[in-house]
Amino acid sequence: MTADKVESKYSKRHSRWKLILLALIIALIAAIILCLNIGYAPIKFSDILTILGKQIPLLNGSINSSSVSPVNQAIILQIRLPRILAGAIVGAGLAAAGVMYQGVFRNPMADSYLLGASAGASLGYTLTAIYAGSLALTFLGLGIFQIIAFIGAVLTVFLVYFMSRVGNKVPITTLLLSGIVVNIFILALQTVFELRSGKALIGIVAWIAGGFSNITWLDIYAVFPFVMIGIVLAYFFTKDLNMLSMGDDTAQHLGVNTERVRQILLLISSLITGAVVSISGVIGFVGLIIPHMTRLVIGPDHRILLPASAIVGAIFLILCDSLARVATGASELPVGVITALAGTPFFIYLLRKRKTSYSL
Amino acid sequence: MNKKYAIYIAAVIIIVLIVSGAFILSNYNPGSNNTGTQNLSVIDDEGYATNFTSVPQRIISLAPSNTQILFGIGVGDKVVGVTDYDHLPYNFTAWIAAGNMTSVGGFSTPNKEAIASLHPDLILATPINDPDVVTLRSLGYNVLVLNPNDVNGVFKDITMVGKAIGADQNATTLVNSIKNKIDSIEAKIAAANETKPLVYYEVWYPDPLMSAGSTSFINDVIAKAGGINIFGNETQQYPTVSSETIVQKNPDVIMLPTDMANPGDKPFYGSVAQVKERPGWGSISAIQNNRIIVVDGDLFAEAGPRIAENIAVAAQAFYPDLFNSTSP
Amino acid sequence: MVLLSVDGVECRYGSVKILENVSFTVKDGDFVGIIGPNGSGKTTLLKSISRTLKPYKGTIILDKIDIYNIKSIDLAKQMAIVPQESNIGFSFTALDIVLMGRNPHMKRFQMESESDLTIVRKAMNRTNTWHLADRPINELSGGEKQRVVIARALAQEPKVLLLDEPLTHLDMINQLEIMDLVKELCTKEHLIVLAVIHDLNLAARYCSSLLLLKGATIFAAGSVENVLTSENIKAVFRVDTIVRKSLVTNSLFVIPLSPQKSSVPRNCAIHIIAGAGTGTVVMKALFDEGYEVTAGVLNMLDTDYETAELLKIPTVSEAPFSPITEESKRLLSEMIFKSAIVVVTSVPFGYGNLSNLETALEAAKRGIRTYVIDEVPIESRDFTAGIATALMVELKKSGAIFIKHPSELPTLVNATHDRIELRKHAQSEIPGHMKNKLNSFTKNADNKEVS
Repeated sequence: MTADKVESKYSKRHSRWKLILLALIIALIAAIILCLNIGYAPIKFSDILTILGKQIPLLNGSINSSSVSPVNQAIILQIRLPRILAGAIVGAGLAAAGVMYQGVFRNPMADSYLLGASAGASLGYTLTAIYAGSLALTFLGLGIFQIIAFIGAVLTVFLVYFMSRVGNKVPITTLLLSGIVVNIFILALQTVFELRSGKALIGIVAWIAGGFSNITWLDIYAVFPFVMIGIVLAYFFTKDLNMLSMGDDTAQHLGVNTERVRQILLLISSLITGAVVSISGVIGFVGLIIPHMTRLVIGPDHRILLPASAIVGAIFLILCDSLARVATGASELPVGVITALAGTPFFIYLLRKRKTSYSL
Repeated sequence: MNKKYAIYIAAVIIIVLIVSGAFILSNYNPGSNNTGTQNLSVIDDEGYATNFTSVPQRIISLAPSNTQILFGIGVGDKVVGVTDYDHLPYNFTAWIAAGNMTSVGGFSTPNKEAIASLHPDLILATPINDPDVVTLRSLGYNVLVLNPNDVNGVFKDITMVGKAIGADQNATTLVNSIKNKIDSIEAKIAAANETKPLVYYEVWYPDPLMSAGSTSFINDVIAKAGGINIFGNETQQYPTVSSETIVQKNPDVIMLPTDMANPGDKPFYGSVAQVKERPGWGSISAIQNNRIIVVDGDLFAEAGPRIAENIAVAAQAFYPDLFNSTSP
Repeated sequence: MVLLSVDGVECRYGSVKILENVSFTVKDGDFVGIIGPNGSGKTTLLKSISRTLKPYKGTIILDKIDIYNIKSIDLAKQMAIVPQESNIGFSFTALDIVLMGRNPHMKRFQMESESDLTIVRKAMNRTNTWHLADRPINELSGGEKQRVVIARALAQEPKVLLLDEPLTHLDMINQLEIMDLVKELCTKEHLIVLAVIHDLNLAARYCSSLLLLKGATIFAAGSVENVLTSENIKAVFRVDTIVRKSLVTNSLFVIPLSPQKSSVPRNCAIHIIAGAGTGTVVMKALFDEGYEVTAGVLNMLDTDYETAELLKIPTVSEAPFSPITEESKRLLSEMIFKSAIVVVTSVPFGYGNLSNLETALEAAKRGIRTYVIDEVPIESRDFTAGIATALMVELKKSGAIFIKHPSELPTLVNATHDRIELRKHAQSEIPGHMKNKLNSFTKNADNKEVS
C-alpha cells in the first residue's frame, strides 16, 4: 500500500464531510421555506415566493406583486421571516457554543449556560423591566432590554472566569464550581427582584422562558455577526478541540497551548451565547443535546461536528418555534417547552439505535 | 493552502455582512409616526407621544380594562381585536367563537400576525406588554400604553383614549358619571364621621403572601371607600408580607379576591373557613367579628371604568350600616 | 550526536521536595530505564522532562537548548510522550489519533499534506497498526491502543521518546512486543528513550542503561550490570534478591527471595542427596525452615547444584559429566556423618551417582536418621540393572523412613528435630556423671526407633 491509499482514505472522509454540510444547508433552506408557510395568518405559498422574490435585487423588476396585500407582505417580511431567521441564528449559536463548552470542559453535560450567561442575561432583563421598562429606550435601534441582557451575560461570564484564575492558569474544576456558585447567587438575586417586579413579572417570566415573539430585523443584524464570525473563528480551533479531548497533558505534549485555546474558545462561545440569549431569552436543550445528537450520527471530529451541529441546531429551533407559534390558537407556547418535549424522545431514540456503546 | 483558506473565509464573512446589512436596512421601517402632517399628538402613561393623522377606525385592545374603556366611551363597534381574557362587557368568548370578533392571544404574548392581519390603526396596551409595544411601534403601529395606578389615573386614561379616537365628549361624560358615583359614596362616608376601619386586601396566598401597597390602585379604592389599607405605607406596588405583620396590625376587615378565571363566591385560595383557621389569625379583629369579604377578583384586578363599582363594594364592606346591600 | 542533559533538577510540591539533585546525560541510541520503588520520583522525573511539572531548580537541555525556554509546540517537535494509559473515550479512528501526532509540525490553518500522511503511514507500519487505521480507538485492545499511541509519538518525528510505565496494563506478549518495538526504534531511528518501568527484568533485558531512583534522588546510574546488583536492590527495594544472567536472553534477571525467613535458625544439620532437579524444592523448604542444609554429591551442571549455589548451601560437587570420584565420596562421607538427618530424593540412579546411595546406606547403618522420598518407585529410576533397587531394600532394612511425597518431609523433620531438642533439654537437667551414660543410652534407643 502506498501513500495514495492513505490519501484516498483521508480525502474520502473530506468529501463525506462536504456532502454532509451540503445536505444540511439544503435542509436548512427547506426548513426556512416550510416554516414561512406556518403561522396564524393564512398566506398562499405562491404569495410567499412572490414577496421573497421581490426582495432579491435582480428579480425585482420581473415579479408582479400587485395581487399580494400589503398586510401579508408586512406579515411575511416583518414578522415571520425575522422570527425564522432569528430561530436559525439562535439555534446555530447555541449549538455551536454547546460544542465548544463540551470540548473545553471535556464534559458531556456542559452547555453554554454553565458559566452564568443565562443567569446574567435574565438578571439584566429583569432589572431593565423593573427600572427602565417604561422608558422604551433604544440605542441605535436596539432595545435597551437586549443591550442590558447582553451586558449581563458577558459580565457574568467574565466574573466567573476571573474568579477562577490561579496565577496564569484557570483549572477546569475551579471554573465549573465558580460557575455553579455564581449561577446560584444570581438566581437568588433574580428571585428577589422578581418578587419586587409587580406587573412586570409576567413579562419577565415569559421572556426568560424563551421565545421569538418580539424579534425585529435590527435584532438579527446585531446578533448575526456574533454568531457567524464566532463560529468561523472557532472553526480554526477545531483541531485543537480534537486534541483537547484527549486530555490536557496529551494536548500539551502535542503542542497545543491548552490555556490559550481554552480562553479563546470560552470567550467566543460566551459572546455568542450572550448575544443570542439577549434576543431570545433562555432556551434550553439546544446547547446541551444538539451536539450529542450530531456526534451520534457524524462522529467526534470537531472539524465536522462544529459546523454540522450549528446547522442542525438552526433547523431544530426553527421547527420548534414554528410549532410553538401555532400550537394553541392565537396564543403561543414558550419555545423552551417545545424543544424539550420534542427533542428528548428523539434523542433517546438515537441513543438506543446506536449499536456500540456510546461513550462521549 | 492556509492563506487561500483564510481569504476565502474572510470573503464569505464580508459578503454575508454586506448582503444582510443591505437587506435589513432596506426593510427598516422607523414607523409612520414621523411621516405626514402632525394632526394630533397623544402622550400615553409611559410618556411616549403618538401622532395621529386620522381618527382610528380599527382598534385592538390588549387588556380587559382597556376594552371596557373603549366600550364605555361608546366606540365598541370599532374594536376589532381583544384578548382571550376579555368577557366584559360582552361575552367576547362567544363572539370569537361565532367569528364576530378576533382574539389576538393572551396577556403576555399577543400574536403579532393576528394583529397585523387585522390592520389596526390603534392598539391599547398595558405595561405588561412593554417589549411587544417596542416591536409593534417598530412595525409602524400606533400604540398607547395605559397604566393607571389610582382612580385619577383611570380618569386620565379615559380622557386620553377619548382624545385619541375623537370621542372627547363621551369620554368626559363617562368620567363624570364615575366621578359622581364615587363622590357620593365619599360624601356619605364623610358625613357619617365614623372611625375608619383597618383593611387588609389579600392579593396572593400562600407563596408569597402579597398585599397591595401605596402605589397600587387597590390602595386608592380602599382609601376612597373610607378604609385604611394596613400596608398603605409600603411603597412597593405589591409587597410581600408576613402573617405576623398582619396579625400585629389587626385589620378590621379582610378582603379576599375570587379566582379571576372562575369567579364564584369562594376566595381563589381555599375557603373563608380555612382563612379563619390560619395559625395565629384567630386573634385578628376581622376574624373575630366575621368581617371577611369575598370580592370579585376579576373586578378588583383591573383599574378600568368599573372602578366605581369596586369602591361601592368596598364601601359596603367597610360601612355595612351606611350602604344597603346592592350587589356589585 | 544529540544530547539530553539533566542538571541539578529539583522538583517540589509546595515545600516538599519530590525530586532532588538529579543530574545525568544521555545521548541518542540510549534506551534508559528509570526504575525505583513507589514514591521515589520516577514519574516526577519524567514529568519534569516532558514539561508537565516545572522544576524548582535545575535545567534540562536538549540538543543545546533549554527546553523550558522554548514554546511547547517547538518542544513537541522534538519530544514525544507515551503515557501510562490512554483512556480515549471518543470514537476517533486510529488514523485520526496518529495524525494528531503531526500537529506540532503544522501551522494552525493548515490541513495535513501528503508528506504528513506519508510519515503517518510509516509510523503505523513500524508499529504494526496500519491495519487498524479505520477502527475506532475505543474498540481496540490495550496492546493495540498502546501501539497506536506509540505510532502517534513516532509521527511527531521526535528526538526523545518518553514512556511512563507503558506496560502496566498489558499482557505478556504485548509487553514483549512493545519493548521489542521501542528498542528497535531506539537503535534504528537514533532516539533517546527514557522509560519508567516497574518490571526489573524487562528493564534489564531491553535497556542499555538504568537510572535507579530512591528517596527522590538518583541512587545509582549506569550500565545494567553496574546498577542491577543484589546490594543495590536490597538497599533500594529492601528485598533480598538473587541476580543472575540468563544464558537464553543474555540479560540479567532478578529473583526475589521471600521477604520472610523462618523464625529461628535451628542448629540442626540436614544433608540432602539429590540430583536432576529433584532436590530443589526440598532444599529450599528445609532452608526456609532454618536448618543447616548441605548437599552432594552434585554434578556442577545439575539444576540442584545451581539451587545450592543460589542458597549458598555447602555442597560437594563433581565436575560435569564425570562419575563421582573417590575423593568426592570421601568428602561426602565427612559431610554426611556430621549431619543429624539425611534425605534421599527420588533422583534417578546410574553408575555415575550410585556411590551417593552407598554413602546414604552407610549413614543409615551408623544410625543417622534417614528419609527416602519414594515419590517415583525405585524400579523406574534404576539405571544400574538392579543394584540401586537392592541398595534401597537395604536402606529400608537399616531403618530408613520412606515417604511418598516430598511435602510430608518438613513436618516429619520438624517433629524429629523437636524430639531431639526435647531430649537435649531433658539431658541438661541430669547431673553430669549420669549424662554420658544417658547419652549413649538414648543414642542406642534412637537407632532402634522406628517412625
